Amino acid sequence: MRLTRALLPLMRPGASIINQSSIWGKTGVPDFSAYVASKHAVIGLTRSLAFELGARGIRVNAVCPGWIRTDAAMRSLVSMAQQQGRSEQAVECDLLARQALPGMLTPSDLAGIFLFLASADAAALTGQAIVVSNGEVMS
Amino acid sequence: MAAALTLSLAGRTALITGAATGIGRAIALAFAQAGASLVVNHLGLSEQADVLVQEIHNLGGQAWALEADVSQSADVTWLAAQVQQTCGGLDVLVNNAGILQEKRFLDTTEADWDRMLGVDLKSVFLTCRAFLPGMVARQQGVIINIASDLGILGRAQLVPYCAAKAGVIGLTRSLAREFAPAIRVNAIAPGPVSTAMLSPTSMSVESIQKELDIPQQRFAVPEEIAATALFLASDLSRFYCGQVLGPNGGSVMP
Repeated sequence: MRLTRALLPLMRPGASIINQSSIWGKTGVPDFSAYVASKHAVIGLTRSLAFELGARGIRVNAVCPGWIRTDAAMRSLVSMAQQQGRSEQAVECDLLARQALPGMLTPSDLAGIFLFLASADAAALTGQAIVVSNGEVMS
Repeated sequence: MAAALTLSLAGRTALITGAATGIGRAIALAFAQAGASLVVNHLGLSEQADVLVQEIHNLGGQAWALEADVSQSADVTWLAAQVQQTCGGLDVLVNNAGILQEKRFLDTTEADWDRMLGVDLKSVFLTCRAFLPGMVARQQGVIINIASDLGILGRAQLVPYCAAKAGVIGLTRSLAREFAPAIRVNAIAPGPVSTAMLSPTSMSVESIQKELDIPQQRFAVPEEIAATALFLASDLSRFYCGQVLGPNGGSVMP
């Protein structure tokens, strides 16, 4: 919110704002309620800003990634495993079983959607929250 | 199947935050008519809260007014202690307190953001944290969070409000998963309702006009939202978990 407000005066028609949300901006999970609330809030902010900035030709969208092999996500996985008293491998196996496509996403799997949303090819897209999760969440 | 499912709240105690006026007041009256004992929370509206308590007494019900700022941790701790002392436990928590300020995003200050997120989102965290331990101990309880259709749709000049209300929906879904099956947590995302929040004192006439642009082309009366709250508080909704119900005149059709 602070960064967007500071940079907005510099943005021209055709500009694109992309906010990082999460699949947990679309659904809830136990034990992460504050994180889930904040990621839902990012989508609310995205949709309101899309209306407010539409007349200036500025598009605002959100990306909602699923589980990605990053250090932060792996720390969450470790804490989930500890809470459940199970191995990290077992928890990971459960998470991946919810996906339509096999395998955990890597950071480079996200680049395509950011490139697309930043490009003129996405000129008609605003206020959207696009899920990139190997099919874990479909809505 | 055990006893028949009914809308009755006889023998249950309910706390409604921000209950002195508007939707909260209508929920309090609906719950009282269904047999619940009511704790009427308010902030700086003693006169209206006292009138409501008297109305509930006249219906033959029990009610207490308790003033507390639910965006403040110390106030919520005090409120929980008072409820425990007066009622011995809470069965239904309705997080209804909310504020709205219409402002262009670029004019929105950090203080505006903190105030709206404090009352509209943090308060839900604080009350849930204060009352859930008692519900867990008794292995029963219902939490109803009042969100908004604007938390799903977004609206220009209402960025912090929409962000907070979307946050309420995320909080609802997570708590529902974490505390099921004993405690049910659901949300209501009303469309436009005739209250002080949707009046020229807090919103521009153009924005209010825009709110009428829904299939039913009218504002709800608070009682129409209270009906959904009564359903969610009662055993009739006992298989509802983490849901967002939308009495909204058709503004959102997911």
